[in-house]
Amino acid sequence: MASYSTNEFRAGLKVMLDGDPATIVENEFVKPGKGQAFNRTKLKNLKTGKTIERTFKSGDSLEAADIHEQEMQYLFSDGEEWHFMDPESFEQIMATKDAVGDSAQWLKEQDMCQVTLFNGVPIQVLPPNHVELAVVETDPGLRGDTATGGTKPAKLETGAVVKVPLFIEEGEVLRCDTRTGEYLSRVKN
Amino acid sequence: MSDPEQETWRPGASPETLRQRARLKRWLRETLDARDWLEIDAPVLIDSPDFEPNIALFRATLPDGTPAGSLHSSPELSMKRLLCAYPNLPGAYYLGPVFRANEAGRRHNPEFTMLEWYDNGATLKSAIDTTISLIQSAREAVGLSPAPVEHHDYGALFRRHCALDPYQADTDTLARAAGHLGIDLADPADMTRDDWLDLLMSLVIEPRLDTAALTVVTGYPASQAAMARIQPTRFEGRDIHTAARFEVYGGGLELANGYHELVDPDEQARRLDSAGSRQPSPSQQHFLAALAHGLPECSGVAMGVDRLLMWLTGAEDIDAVLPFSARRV
Repeated sequence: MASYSTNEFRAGLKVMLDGDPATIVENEFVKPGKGQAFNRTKLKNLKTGKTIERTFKSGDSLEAADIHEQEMQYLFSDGEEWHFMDPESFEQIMATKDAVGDSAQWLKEQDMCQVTLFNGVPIQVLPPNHVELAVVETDPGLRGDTATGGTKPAKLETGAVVKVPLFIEEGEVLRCDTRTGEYLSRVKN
Repeated sequence: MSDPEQETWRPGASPETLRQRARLKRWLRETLDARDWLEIDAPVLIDSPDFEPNIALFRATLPDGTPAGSLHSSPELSMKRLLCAYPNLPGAYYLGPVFRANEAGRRHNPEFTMLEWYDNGATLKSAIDTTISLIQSAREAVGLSPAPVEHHDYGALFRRHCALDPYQADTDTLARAAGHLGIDLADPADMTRDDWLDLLMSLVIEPRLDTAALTVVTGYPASQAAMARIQPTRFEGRDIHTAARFEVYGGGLELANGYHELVDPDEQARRLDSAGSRQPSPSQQHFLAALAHGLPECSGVAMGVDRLLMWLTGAEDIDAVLPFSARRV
């Protein structure tokens, strides 16, 4: 595997850190005019999501991490394994519960997801930014109440619970933002 | 979508900043010329005087691949040879590009503009005064009020911010202090004492300097003297030796570095030797021959003009004060 020297460090670079794949979030070059140069970096562990600060003597290097990000279609899950398909090669791949994490609550069969592969194995799955999901459980709607601004929880078909306006009924399809977990609008049929 | 950050064909600096840049350079020349100092066109392409352990040079080659020297990282040797030859000059300065390989970041560009002057007869104290007054009048010239000036001793700064004696602490003590201060260094194996001191200076002390003030730091360890004299002094009741050297920071940004210059040719030859120069290069031999002829007592100061402009304009990134930084060439 290739390696990167500190003068190639930049945000977004994928490297191996303490045995785990990580992405460089920030890289700052510091050097007294006459003195030794250092790179002060922030790195995010791609497995745990934790961000750490590490300083490198300039000239040090890190091994490159074999990381690929790919759009894949979500097929189905049995609650333990999540299955995805590469829409071009039709190759199927399985992601574990750890890799899918909180994204599971937004995954609807056939939606396109962003899958991060490390050495060919999924380590992270991101749902589409916007999804359209049906309400499977909520208190009865207050018909006509579009003005008071009150909210209530609604459970969606994929398991996520979002705050929705009081007039929303079971069976309605909602547009939501998966990054914030917020209800955006009703989807008219 | 056109994101101006991504349009790297464009200049990094705004038209206003470029105008300020041109004005600042003109103003610096006028101010130094008024002191009857001589502007010198030091050669940019020189042979390879590898005497700065922490500065990497850009190498030049002929079309057939033959090594043809380096781009200078400072005009120091040329300027001192000139003063040796013409000891009646009141002062001399260089204002132009210098080159340092692999130095790129928010505060560094591999090619940058250096103002380096040699003030004939000046002591360290008077070199500090000249530097501060030059920076203060540069502030005035762009319509800013003078900045408060703070003077700090290197030893006292390390005592206060790192709880150690930088003249005595061994590498283990320095490594432990860095750890306590939250610095996680990837590979500490080949760190020297001075490397650790540089690390603590850059990551712990510089960020704690007053952001509004001009800070003068003196009392650098003798091991960091480079081409400065070494002088006896006292620290916490002990007799020690420090470098006759100062640094000026503008709000934590290193702006200038000055020496009371070493004039002793034998001591200078020894330092070149220990800096790993196997056989002195022709330009080093010229330099040593000039010192043997006699360098007048003088102080030399190197000031980063791009850094000064960053501080005057409040720019966070050197890219914003250059027409085309290395990110855009």
